[in-house]
Amino acid sequence: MKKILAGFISILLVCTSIAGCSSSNKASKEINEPSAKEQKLTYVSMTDAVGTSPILTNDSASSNVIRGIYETLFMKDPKTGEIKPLLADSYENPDDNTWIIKLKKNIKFQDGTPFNSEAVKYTFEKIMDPKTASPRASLLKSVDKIETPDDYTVILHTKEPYGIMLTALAHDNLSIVSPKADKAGDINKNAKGAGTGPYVFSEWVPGDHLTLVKNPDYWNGAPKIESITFKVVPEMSTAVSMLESGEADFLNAIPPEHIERLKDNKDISVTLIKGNPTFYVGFNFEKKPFDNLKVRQAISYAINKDSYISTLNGLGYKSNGIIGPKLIGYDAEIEKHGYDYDIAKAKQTLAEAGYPNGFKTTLTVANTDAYMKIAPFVQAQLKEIGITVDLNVLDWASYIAYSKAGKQDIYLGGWANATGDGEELLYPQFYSKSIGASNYSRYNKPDMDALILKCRTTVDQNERLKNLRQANIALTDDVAWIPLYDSNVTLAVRKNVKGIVFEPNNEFRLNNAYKE
Amino acid sequence: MEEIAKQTGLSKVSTHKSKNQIFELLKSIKRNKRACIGLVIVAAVILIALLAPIISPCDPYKQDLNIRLAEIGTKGHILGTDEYGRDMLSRLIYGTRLSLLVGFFSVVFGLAFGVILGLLSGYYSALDTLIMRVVDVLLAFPGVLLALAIVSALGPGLVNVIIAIGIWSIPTVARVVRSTVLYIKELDYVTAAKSIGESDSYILFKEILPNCTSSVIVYATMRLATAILSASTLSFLGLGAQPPLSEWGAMAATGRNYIYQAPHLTLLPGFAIILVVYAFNSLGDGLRDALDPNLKNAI
Amino acid sequence: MFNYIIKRLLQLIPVLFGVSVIVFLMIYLIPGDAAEIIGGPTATAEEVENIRVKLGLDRPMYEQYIKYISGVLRGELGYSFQTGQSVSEAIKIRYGNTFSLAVFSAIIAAIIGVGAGVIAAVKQNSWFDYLSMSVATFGISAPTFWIGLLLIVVFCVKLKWLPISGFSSQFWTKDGLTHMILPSITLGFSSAAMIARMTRSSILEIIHQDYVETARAKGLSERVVILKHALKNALIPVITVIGVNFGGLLGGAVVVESVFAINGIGRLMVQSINARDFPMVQGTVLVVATTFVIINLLTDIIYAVIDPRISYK
Repeated sequence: MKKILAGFISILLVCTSIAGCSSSNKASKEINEPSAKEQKLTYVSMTDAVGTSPILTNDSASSNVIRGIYETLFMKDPKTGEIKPLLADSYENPDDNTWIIKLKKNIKFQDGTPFNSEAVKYTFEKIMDPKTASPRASLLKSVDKIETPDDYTVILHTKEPYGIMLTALAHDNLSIVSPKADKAGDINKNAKGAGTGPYVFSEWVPGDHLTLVKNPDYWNGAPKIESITFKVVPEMSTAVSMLESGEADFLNAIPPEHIERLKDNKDISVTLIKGNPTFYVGFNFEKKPFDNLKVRQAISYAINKDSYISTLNGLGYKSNGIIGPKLIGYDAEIEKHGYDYDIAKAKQTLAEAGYPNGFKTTLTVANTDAYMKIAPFVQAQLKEIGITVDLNVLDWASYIAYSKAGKQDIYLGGWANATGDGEELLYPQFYSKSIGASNYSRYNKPDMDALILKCRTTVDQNERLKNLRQANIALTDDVAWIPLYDSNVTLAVRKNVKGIVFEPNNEFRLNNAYKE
Repeated sequence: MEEIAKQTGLSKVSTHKSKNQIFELLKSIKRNKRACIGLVIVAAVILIALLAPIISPCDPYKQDLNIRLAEIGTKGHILGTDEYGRDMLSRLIYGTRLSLLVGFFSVVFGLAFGVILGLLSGYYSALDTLIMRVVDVLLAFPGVLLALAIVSALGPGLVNVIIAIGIWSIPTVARVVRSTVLYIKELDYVTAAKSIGESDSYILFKEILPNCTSSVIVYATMRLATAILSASTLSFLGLGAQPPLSEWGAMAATGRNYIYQAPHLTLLPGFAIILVVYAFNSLGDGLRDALDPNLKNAI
Repeated sequence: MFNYIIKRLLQLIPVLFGVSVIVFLMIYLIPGDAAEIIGGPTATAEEVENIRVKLGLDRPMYEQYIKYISGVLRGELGYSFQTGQSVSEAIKIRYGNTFSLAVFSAIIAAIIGVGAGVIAAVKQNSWFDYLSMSVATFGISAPTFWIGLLLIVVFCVKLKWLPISGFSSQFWTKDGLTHMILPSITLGFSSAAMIARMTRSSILEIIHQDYVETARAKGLSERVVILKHALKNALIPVITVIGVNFGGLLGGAVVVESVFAINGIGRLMVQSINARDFPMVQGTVLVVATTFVIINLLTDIIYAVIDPRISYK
């Protein structure tokens, strides 16, 4: 009996100490907090960068680093979303297939070589070379030929009109690299001197941390921050704890369950802005009964998005549009479309489709956090209208392989739009030639194909917008996806850190950051 | 290692099974207080698992997002609710089924292969080297990786979790059984059976196997505890039981995100695991003392 | 003895060969490949195919294996598919962390385990006996990630006594030590508990045996009796536990490495399999398997030193 008692007491001890933690939050002495004036930043991320070359990577962890080291010809204004020149000075379109880009002068790469048209040509041709196997080669797929009439002029000739050329040129993966640095070594592992950006690659211990230091000669004014450390912390609860203890300075993509706690912390400020990453339920259009519009409508009616969004602690917002509010091509008119939660209509539509008693199906999900949270919800909602859903949970690599092969019935998907243009969603997701690749729904409709091509090739911006809006309405009416929610992106920063620019695609720029 | 197992893994050999064996066993467990407690908890948990539909206050899968993350002591939800507003108590009760299922079947899976490999390897010296090298490979292979690969290949369903965890126990079972066989096959009654021309399969299954049972039972009981823990590790890596199943390991793992907001989501299933694992370990200890005192140092 | 060691080391070769074949088959049987991960969800079929060609994934399976294994025989573990990094470099960075974590937690486990076990045995049925055995039970029965998380919440976030991350393998410095404590305790908790229980029961058993009674009868003090006679014999099972667990510590470190953000080999292994990064998976598995086999060999040798009754074939 004594034994049991002792065991019980030890359990109780743990209990009370945990319970104490959740309620009290008293500040005691801090450990390891660097002195406030020291201009050093630590960012924690769950995954390590894959590489430090814009040519060979395509993941957000790498992009965060690449954005500090390199620069693109154009950039998207973080506030307005407007595309404006960065390394470029100006551009003109004598015709739809020609882009004449003038470059800024007197800019040097960090290795001392001048930034000029040769560097642009070198970078782009390397990306276009199939032997390079650049994962984002498709950004320049329309480009036929690159000319450099003088040191500060680049002419891009395209095979067909390429409406989103400027957006593509603002993409991190089209950052310009120093030809000298790239030829000298593998800038994917050691990018010292390879970019024109405000920070210089310093050190990388793969799996642990990567450090950038300031570029004192940065053409647009040297940054105040001396060094930035990108620290890898795979466990979210740990990352949040580190921000609270002062071991880390900032953190983005915070899941809903931690947001309230961080907001309550007086040492931390949380920025929340409407973002573009979207989560949706997708269908396999090649499988019955999902080729039936009524079935898709019924499923859409059955899902109470508002109710799920209410669990996100403000990290999600609703839009009926497949092209969401933060993308070029969105128009508020779309909110009158779509099929919002109405359980009676759901049952009725399902009966009209010929399934009065529902049916059995499988929902394919990747085993990452956001999807795993949505899956049981969708499962429970569909059960209400008689659709029995089995979950097919796969790890990321299997999920991609499985979905590309079109083996899934319905699936949970997500799409983060790096360029912020609706076209970057339509072409990969709904164009028939993207089947077998990113078109997991195997959406294959000639009308839509024609419309998507128009969006892609039209250079006139107003015309493009009209096409994008039209495509958005057509897809939304057709329930090509059921958009569940668009994400509000979050950045949590220790209060003494200022000047981090945060964008709706969850990206941040540290050019003007500093510590108080 | 092999040598140690051989020396210490000698089991008590009795050719005549006493009818009162089970009674004797119970009596000896009764003498051991810890084993007693273990037995009582195990029995209670099995009972809870069997009666789950009757004793659960709510449907464990019924979501109500309006009352999500309710605290312990909320009216109608004594142990609160989880992130979907599902009743924690009901989920824990149904979880006993799943956790026992994972434990039981993964051990059975491991035993089935382990015992056969062990028997063959111990009895036929020709096969011994080959099988033992295979066992070495399995032992040297990081268990987590094996499970990861299996679950990646087959998808993270409950059955695949069971297979993945089951494979972990094969090499150890094979070794325990082999060392027992090596000892028994030299004993008089086995050599006698051989000399009167009994078939190999008769000797293996009628003479040798019954004498391995005690060590196997002891090992199995303890392994059950480990299996339940392993399931939670797989869930931590995102490869455990699939939602909405309320397997305890999966509950503790997904609940960890809410440790600050609603600590009971991860604490309760954690304590449930501790309780059951404790019970199986104690029962295993007791059984070992009762059945096979020499085994104490081998496992 | 020398021949025995050589023989055991030679046995390592077929084991490692078997391991490499299994890893190879495994990677190719599970769905998805490295090219698709590198391409990401946006990649077109063409982009993925280019990557595949670059990595040699378009070649037949046996050809890939022969290419790989001949590299290994020349002492080259190859390059990561995903990052292009040298596999041996990548392992070098992480191996020290995991190894010192495992060693340190084994040491902590041994000290706490043997200490608590001896005291609990000597003061059988005292409050210390009950409390330590209850904590031990707790330690064996709880999931590792769960313990780690609770320790972080209590010691790092609430009490702010210890830092969470920033692990370095230099546990001889004060800074290194503070970073090492929690992960080691988390990892070593269940071993410590197992050792404590085993020590306790072996000592209890031995204390009542004839030769200990004799020693006692000869008038040796109780402390001498326990330290010299009982403890020495009780150590054998304890070493078994340490040996067996050490292998487990290496392979099972992945959870602790994730929770405490340690750049270790377990995490590398899990990441690599998630990325289908075949050369990296092979490299890490071979290294872990080799360590495991060598630790087992060492354990067996230590037995021989401590217990002369054990002889070698």
